[in-house]
Amino acid sequence: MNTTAMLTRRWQTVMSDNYGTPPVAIVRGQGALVWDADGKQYLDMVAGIAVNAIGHAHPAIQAAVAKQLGDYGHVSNLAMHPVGIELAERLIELAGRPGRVFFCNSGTEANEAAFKVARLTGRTTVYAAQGGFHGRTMGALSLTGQPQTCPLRTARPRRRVLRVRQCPGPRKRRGPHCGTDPGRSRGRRGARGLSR
Amino acid sequence: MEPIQGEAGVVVAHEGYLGELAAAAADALLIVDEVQTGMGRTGSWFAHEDVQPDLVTLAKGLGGGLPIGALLSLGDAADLLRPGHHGSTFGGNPVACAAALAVIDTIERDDLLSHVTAVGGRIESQLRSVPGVAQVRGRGLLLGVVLESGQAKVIETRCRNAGVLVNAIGDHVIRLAPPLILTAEQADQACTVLGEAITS
Repeated sequence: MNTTAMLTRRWQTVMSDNYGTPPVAIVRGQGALVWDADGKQYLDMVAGIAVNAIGHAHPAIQAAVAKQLGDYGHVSNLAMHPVGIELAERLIELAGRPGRVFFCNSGTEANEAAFKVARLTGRTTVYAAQGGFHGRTMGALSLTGQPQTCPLRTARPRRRVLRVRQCPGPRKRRGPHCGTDPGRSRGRRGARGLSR
Repeated sequence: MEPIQGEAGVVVAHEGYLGELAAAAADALLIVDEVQTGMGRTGSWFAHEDVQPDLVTLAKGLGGGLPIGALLSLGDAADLLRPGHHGSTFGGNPVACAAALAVIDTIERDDLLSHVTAVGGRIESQLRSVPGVAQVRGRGLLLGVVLESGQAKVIETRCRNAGVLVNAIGDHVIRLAPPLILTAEQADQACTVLGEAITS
């Protein structure tokens, strides 16, 4: 039996506690619906944090993944493969101008890669927005403008090649929630501040 | 820079903000983080639209549930990364790439970009009139419902009990980021449940 109560006990025994115990255990999904371990149905307005773009168990993804695993599942970057080249071509087409694609496995890794490319210009200062979030690996974390996100942010190595500066975010924080006034913003000053 | 700051509570850059950044950073790289906003989430492929960033980062919706991230280096920036500078054993895994292609094909075939704009607008207009909602911000199907009270966590729990999963960010914002295929009926259902959770 895998009821939510039983899964909760098992989770609390073996899973790292960095997320706190999640309140729900999902065992099935279809489109915008998911079901928990006790059979309760939910409308999923989170989509795994903006991930399940075309919903759960979409036949197009199932077919594409099954076909790909039947052909070849992993080759590393010691070999080219057509599906990767095609995806890069499509993304560059969507971007609307010539370029190249580096693939990784997550958003924080994509931002780490961008951080590295920025270093290759020889420049030593990076500006990032207040309130911004770029991931939780150490490089991306150092660009994240949310000190409360992770206490480890202060545990960066003391010697820094790059100076990371925070420029004001797109909206001024005011009151209990930020950016409530669409007519006013600190962003304008923030953008100008870059050139100084 | 994120065109819309997701984790901060769906904070939208004011119009022209990225353009001003691009102008101010004329001889530096402009990096746009589209991890949360990219691949149709806001009703367009990218949320940065009218600026030309040098680097764009993607992940989340790109693989439709399979783990994949991407860094697009555009224009002159495309030649900065040279052999030996970077790498990833799993990066560009064929299975994840195949899933991403299926996502792009589906978004194009089902005209999901205009669908996202329509359904997102529908949610926004319904929630705007709910007492206790200070503001609904965001674009497409990345929306932040800003609450007058600091009850976001309580409201998240009420919604879950009523069969709708939403995401509280801090005490004052409920983030909505449903699948792009969300139907109008499902959107209405979510608004009804969320509205009741806010007003009760």
